[in-house]
Order: sequence, then C-alpha cells, then structure tokens
Amino acid sequence: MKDGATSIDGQRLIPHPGETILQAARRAGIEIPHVCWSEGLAPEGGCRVCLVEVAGGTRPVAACHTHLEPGMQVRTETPRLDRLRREILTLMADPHPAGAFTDVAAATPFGRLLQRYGMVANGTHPRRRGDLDGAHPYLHFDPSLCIVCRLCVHACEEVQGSFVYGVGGRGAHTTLRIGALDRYTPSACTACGACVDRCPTGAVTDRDRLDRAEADKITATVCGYCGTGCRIEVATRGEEVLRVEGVRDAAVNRGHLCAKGRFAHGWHSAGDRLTRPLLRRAGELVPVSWAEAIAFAAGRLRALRSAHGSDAVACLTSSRSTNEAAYLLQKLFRCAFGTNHVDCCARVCHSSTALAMGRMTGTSAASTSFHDLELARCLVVAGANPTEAHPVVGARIVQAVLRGADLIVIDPRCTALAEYATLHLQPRPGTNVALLHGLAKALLETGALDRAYVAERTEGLAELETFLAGIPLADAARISGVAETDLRAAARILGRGPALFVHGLGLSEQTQGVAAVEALCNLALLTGSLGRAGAGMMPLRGQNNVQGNADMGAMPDALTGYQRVGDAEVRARFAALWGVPPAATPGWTVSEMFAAARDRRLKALWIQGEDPMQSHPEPERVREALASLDFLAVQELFLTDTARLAHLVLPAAGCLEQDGTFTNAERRIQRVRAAVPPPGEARPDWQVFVELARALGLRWNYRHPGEVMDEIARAAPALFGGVHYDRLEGDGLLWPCPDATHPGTLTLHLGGFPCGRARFRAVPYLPPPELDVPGHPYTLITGRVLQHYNVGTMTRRTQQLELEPEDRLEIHPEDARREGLVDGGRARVTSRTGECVVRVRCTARVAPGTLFLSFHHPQTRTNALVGPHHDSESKCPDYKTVAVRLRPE
Amino acid sequence: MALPQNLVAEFNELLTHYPHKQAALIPALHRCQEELGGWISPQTMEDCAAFFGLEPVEVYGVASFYPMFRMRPPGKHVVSVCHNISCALRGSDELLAKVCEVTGAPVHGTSADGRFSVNTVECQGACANAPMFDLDGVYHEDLTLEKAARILGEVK
Repeated sequence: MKDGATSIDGQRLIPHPGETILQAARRAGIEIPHVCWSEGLAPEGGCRVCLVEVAGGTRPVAACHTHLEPGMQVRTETPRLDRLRREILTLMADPHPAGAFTDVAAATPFGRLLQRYGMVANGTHPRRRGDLDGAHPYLHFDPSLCIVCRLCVHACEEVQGSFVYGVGGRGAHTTLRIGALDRYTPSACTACGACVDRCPTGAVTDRDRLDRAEADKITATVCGYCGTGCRIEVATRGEEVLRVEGVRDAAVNRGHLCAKGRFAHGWHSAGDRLTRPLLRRAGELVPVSWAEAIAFAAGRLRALRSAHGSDAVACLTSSRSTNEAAYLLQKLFRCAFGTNHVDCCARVCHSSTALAMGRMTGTSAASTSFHDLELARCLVVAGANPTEAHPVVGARIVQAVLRGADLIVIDPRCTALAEYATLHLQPRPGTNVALLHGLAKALLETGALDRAYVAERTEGLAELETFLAGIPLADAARISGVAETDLRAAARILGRGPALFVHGLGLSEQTQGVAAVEALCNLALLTGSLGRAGAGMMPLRGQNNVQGNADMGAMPDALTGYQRVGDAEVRARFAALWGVPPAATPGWTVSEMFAAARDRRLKALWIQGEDPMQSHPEPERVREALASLDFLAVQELFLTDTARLAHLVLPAAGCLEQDGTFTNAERRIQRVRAAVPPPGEARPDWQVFVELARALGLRWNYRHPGEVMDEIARAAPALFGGVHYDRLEGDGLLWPCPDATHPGTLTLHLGGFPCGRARFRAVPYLPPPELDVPGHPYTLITGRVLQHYNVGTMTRRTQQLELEPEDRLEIHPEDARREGLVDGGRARVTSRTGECVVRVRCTARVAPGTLFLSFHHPQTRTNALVGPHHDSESKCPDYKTVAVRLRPE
Repeated sequence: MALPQNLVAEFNELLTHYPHKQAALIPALHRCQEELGGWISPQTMEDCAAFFGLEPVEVYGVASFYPMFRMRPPGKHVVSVCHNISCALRGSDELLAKVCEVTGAPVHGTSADGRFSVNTVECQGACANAPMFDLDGVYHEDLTLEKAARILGEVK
C-alpha cells in the first residue's frame, strides 16, 4: 500500500474517499489559499488560487477539485505557487478601483488574502461599472467589488435553490447579473442572504453588514420564528442587535436562514414594545408596578376560583415562549386551581395531526428528522408550503429534489415546490380525504405495498381493503378534481418504496382534518415508511415552540409528556412530584373555553403570548368571549387586539431576550439564550409564573430555567429523562431521550410502535360545509406568505413590510376578469360569516374558483371570513375551505 | 406575456432535434431576435426561460455571451460593415467612417433618431467584391464612399 506515503506539506494523512486535497488539508489544519471555494458548495475551480504541486506531476493542480489519492505528496507553498498566486490575485484585483478592497481588508476573505500577499487593487485596468443596487431593504450589490468568483451563484442554487444570480458577457467583460433585470426587486430573490454568507469581497452584502459595527457579544441561540428551529448567532453591542447569522455546522440549518430569521429582528427594539405592567382602572390601562400587578392577579384568580370553583379559571400557554415557561404555567394552573383547563394554539393548527398520529402510531410527533429529507428517495408534501412558511426546510426539500428525489405535491395551489414536483396533484379545497383514499386504492391496485412490513407491523389491512373496495377510483377523481391517471401515476411512484410524508395545516385545519392525516398515515404504513430512515411522517409545526407546548402538557387531557390525566397511576406520580394531585377530568379546549366564557361559566383566563382576536375564526365571537370574563390577563410583547381587552397586561421578554429551550418540528430540544435584556421592566414569562405561584402560596424556588428542565425530566422520564442543560449545547437532543447516556432519537418507531401494531383507519369522505355553497362561487384558503409570520406582530415591525406591505387576495386571472377585478385593485370578499376588503393579486398559482388570502395584518380581518366549522374530534377550525363571493370595491 | 403561437409551434418542433430542451435555446433566441423587435428583450428572456425550463438570468447568460444577440433594441435599419482583411485593404475604415457620418450612428450604436444601427462584423464571404456592408440582410458590394452614401440615402 502506498497509503503511508500520502502527505500534504510533509504531514502524513490517510485519504478519505471522495475528499479533495483542499478538504484534506483543512482536516490537517493546513489552510490552502482560495477564493472561489466555500465549504458545502460544489467546487467552481475558476480562481486557480488554490493551486498546489503534486510530486511527480508536471503542472500545479487546483486543490479544490482534485481528489487526494493514496500516495500523493502535495506541497501547498512553493516559490512557483507563490508567483502564480500573486499573478492571479493581481489579475483579479487590478480591474477594481484603487484601494477597493483595502478598507474592508480585515472584514472579507479576499481582502485578507490580498493583505497576506501585500497587494492592493490599483485600478490600472478599471472595467467594473454599474451602480450599487441599494434599492432592496436588505441586500446590496456593489459591482466595483465583484470579482465574479460565482460563489453567490453557487450559494443561491445549492443552498436556497432560487437561481437568482447568473453571469453575463464574456472574457474581460464578464459581469455578475442579478435576475434578468439586474435588480433584486423584481427577481426570484427571497432575501435569504445565503449569498452574503459566501461573498468573499463584500460585493454582495446586506443592511446589517454594511455598517460593519463591532459586536461586543455573540450569543448562540435559536431563531424565534417558525418551527424549523434554525440555530443562530446573534451579534450585539450593548442592547443593540447588530446581526444574526446561521450556525454553519448546525444540524437543522447548516448556516442557512430565511429573511425573517436573518433580518427581521428589528421588532425587539420597536418603540411600541410593552415595557411596564398595565392594569385596567376606570376603563383605562394604566402602568403599575410588578408587585401590584402580581398581587392583583393572584387576588383575582384566587377570588374567582373560590367563588366559582375550579372550572372558572383557565390558561393558554404560548407556543412562542419556552418549554420551561409552558411547563410552569400548566403546572401553576393545575396545582393552584385544580383545573385541567389548559390549552395552547396547537389546538387551532396541528391538533388533528396529534390526534390522528397518536391514535395510529402511539406518538403524535414527527417520526423523522430534517436529516431524513436528504436520505429520502421520495418526498410527498401534502397541504404544506414550506418554501414560504418554513423556508429553510423548503430549501432542503428543493435541494433533495434537485439531487434526484421524487416529489409529489398535494396542494390546491401551485406552490413553489409544485413547480419542482415530479407530480403535482391539485385537489379542490376540502377534498383531501377523498384524494388520499383514492391514492391508497390506486396503490393497492398496483399491488406494490410493502407486504412484509404491513404483515409484521400493522393491523386492519383487511378492513381498509374492504373500505376502499367500496370507493370507485372514479369517484375519488371526480370529488377531488384530480384525474384518475394522475392518481395512478402517484401510486406507481409511491409503490417503489418508503417515502417521507411532509404535511402541514392544509391537511389538519379542515373539518376532516383528523381523517385526512389518518388517510396520509395509511399511505405511510402501506409503503412501509414509518420507522425507517429517510422515510416516515413529518408534520411541519408552525411556531418555534408549538411542539414543546404540547410536549410540556399544555393540553386539557394530558400532562407533561402526553401522560393522560385520566390515568390514576399518572396522577399519583405527578402528585408525588408536585405535592398536589392534578385533576382527573380532562379540561376544556380553547374553543370550549371561549364558549364557556360567553356562557359566563369561565370567569378568568390567562393568555400567555397569543392573539386569538386575530388568529382565531370569528373574531367578534372571540371578542364577546374575552369581554365576558371577570379577569383576563395577557402576557405580550405589544398591545395586540387581544391585549387591549385585558384587565391586566404584562410585558414579556421576546425570543432574543430570555433563556430556556425550544423544541422544533423534528422533536429537537435546543437551548435558547438571551442575547439582549428585555426592554424596560419586561420579564421572561417563567419568572412571572414563579412570582405568581409564590403569591398564590406555592413554594416555588426555581432560580434558572435549567432547574425547571430538571423537573421536566423527572415528570416525563420516558421522553425527557436524559435531557439536561449540560447536554443541550450545540444541536441539542431529539426526544425520546430517556436517560443520561441516551443519544436522543432521530427516527422514531425503528423497532416498533409504542402502541404495538399501527392500525389502519379510514373514515368516508364528507363534503365540507363550505364547499358548493349557493351564491358563494369561490373557495377561499387562508395561510401564510414568505415575508410575514402569523399575525405579523413581529414582522410588521420590520422591513419585511417593504417586501410585502399588505395581505393580498390571490385570484386566477380568468376569475378576476369575470368579476371585473384588476391586479392591484380592491375586492370585497364576503363569506357567510363576515367580509373584508383587500387588494387583489392576479396569479395562476391558484386554480380557477380558488382564492388565497394571508392573515398577517389585523386591518385585513381575514379570519372574520372563517366560519364556525371545525373538526368534530380535534376541534381544529377549518381555515382552509371558506365559501365566499366577490365584487370590485 | 408569452411567446407568440407561431414561435411556440416552431420551438416545439425544434425541441425534437436535441437531446435536452435547453439545448435548443440558441436557435430559438435567433428566431426571437428576428421576430420580436430585432433584439433579446427582458420579456423575451423571461418567456424563453419559461418555455425552456430555465431561469431568466440563465437565458441572459447565454444571450449576452454571443455577440450576434443584441441586448438593446436596434435602429430601424441595421448596417453591418465588414472589417476583415480584404475589406480593410480596400478601405473599410473609411467606409465605416462614412457610414457613421451619413447615418449619425456611432460604431456599435444607434442614431439619435433611432433610424440606424451600425456594427462591424467579421468576414461575410464577399471578399472578391470588397469592401461591403450588409444592410438589413442585403449585401451591398464593391462599395465606394459615394455609392454607400447613396444607398443609405435611399433608405432614409
């Protein structure tokens, strides 16, 4: 073997398969100068700065795309290489204005390289021309600094998958091009900033990097927007957030971020942040001290509980806050008031998923991790629009498809992923169940199910077969509007083996939400997908910590770790841990709480960081409920429509201002750390709960969220027994993690299901009440857009507003023509429940007869259109099928 | 906007000659330039990108690489003056100066009134009758300065 002789600069090393000389050298601690190479991107091989000499070779080779072969003896620094590199750097630098890179020398890799070789741009052959593109709120391009290394082109294609950049011209006149018009707006740019991360000269830069302010602290934490849970590093100076960057080696995002995570952090210093507790006196909210606020809250809650019993008080935990806070709030209400009236906003998003997956497989969470997106042979994305709502997951899916994975998209809209799909099934809104049953039937007809898996790990196939036998495929096609041939084509793709099923609220927020997720789960079982790497089910969770809220027991029927309140043994263990036994009767869901408030049965409600006035259907009914309460407390960042109705408003710490943990959509528990202090007197929620508990006579002595996590580990040892802050550095842990040596669980159900065998379930399709309503010819789908986040409380206070200033009604151009609507004009949208006036966007992204509207702006009142219909089991409202009519305004 | 029907039909046929549809982009761009205003407009790039499954910026990359694609709208008449050896020996420099003078257009530019664009081109295969120019696709050979001025004057 020649292995022993392999060396770089005399340092012997064993070549790894597929590793380039440049990568091997980095492994050995030798940094070969380079310009157009960047970790994780395909080598461009254009700059030739990384040339090295291989013993016995006649000419230098580029280290970035030459593999280190056994026996190679490589020199990275020789007089010849030095001369070559100087020549190349001169050619690169000279066309630029004198001193172009000098003022940013220390800040950019190319500047540092020039500095190292003692070189400066001298402007001898100026050729870069053009104006700085400074029109975009975040991204800036300065052509005078661009050396056309193409790293931005690679980053845009290989990280984000947006293909914004190109290179135009020839030879010495080659220039970088941003979209067809050489501008970020309009172009396909999503402002993710992946290009900024890689640009070696500062030609492509952004708002936060332009001023090059020096940070005095870097804080490693987790993004507070969606349920992806990207790891970030926050650069701060004093109380000012300067920059947010993705952590390059993070398992979730590998350095990538979306525009919201990277740039939309300005809300935290917005002038209208709540900074003092506010108490309603004579109808007005007036500032009071924390001591007064806590004393008032404790007094009201105790009095109402004493006068009206344990059914009179309830709380909603916040999916935006930490696990520790959610745990403490549910514990507080269960211990201090003996109530199980605890719920969270998961009720109005993935409650259908939790119920369906829990019932069929025993675990109501993603069976798999984001890592599996890369391993998947086939991806099915159903009722989810991850490139907008979970952009970093969306980008990972795009990359998997570009590498050759099959993609089936099930969505009534032509989403960005649909354009990449092998097959796009475009059902009529509200017909998921019919469509998914049709797919199962077509799959059974192909005979390509995983029979061994089905026999070993499932039960109820015969019943499913009988059920499906009664559904003609033609009926599924007619109801869903998806052609039989497409159903068969999809079944053939699914029949090739296990697939990874990614779904979102398009499935769960429907009157048949539970049935739809069950029908999707049937497909996952028929294809042998659950309990396999690179396959399974991945519900995309909306908020940063909605998974964690459910995990912590913010549910009326379950305690921490999904332990049922009805189970006497469970209650006994919690009684031992808490010193107080939890109540045995399941409490109310959020919609039942609102109904009880309207009936004056519920007297006091504590809302931690949620704005149901904007996020729930029928806002007037919500107002009626909240206004009926004798005591409403709201913990918030801003005075939202919900907070305006409260008797007590408590200023909360935001996600950049507190310590704790978030759990993302793949069950990954990650550490959250305060980068800046909360403004004014605002406080982290967990501290407020500790004080409130003490005021209510409970002896709570938590000094740090880490102590709360230790108790969580004891409360639900099967899931969290091994979770401790010491183990949550870096990428954290995926539950279940039952003991201190357990590494956490990437893929669930590898050895079997917690419920033994998974059981097929199928209920017949029922048309949703809002489909084919006379006089209401259109079906409206509500949802999110890329630029904003949920009710927009955060993003509306940032420059995201410049990217998308308002909610827009998406309508097919043919429908717009028929209704006399024009792009940019206004339309009055009327449902049987309410109406609103919005600006129109004509786009073929929606099918004729279908409309789409986001709900990010309170003035739009999108949810006023949404009716009272919900899934009968999960109580999840139907936000996705709303019958409406239109007229120009 | 989208490509006109006749071009779509043509391009669909064109695709059958190539292993990948993107490979047909260059001949398609030539046809677009002929049919759609004599240049490759941003709209043409967008429409071709949609047709060929490319990004508009990729179409730009191709179009801007080849000098025969115009990235700006040309004048009403296009004069292409050969400046290769035979024509150069027989006075193409003077001819070019005369063409610019008569038309009012700079070399590789368009006259202020938008009537003429003037280019230099490589050998057009008319060496025996040098010097020459191509006016709107028609060769004019054995040119003298007077003859050139007269020809250009007639199209004015």
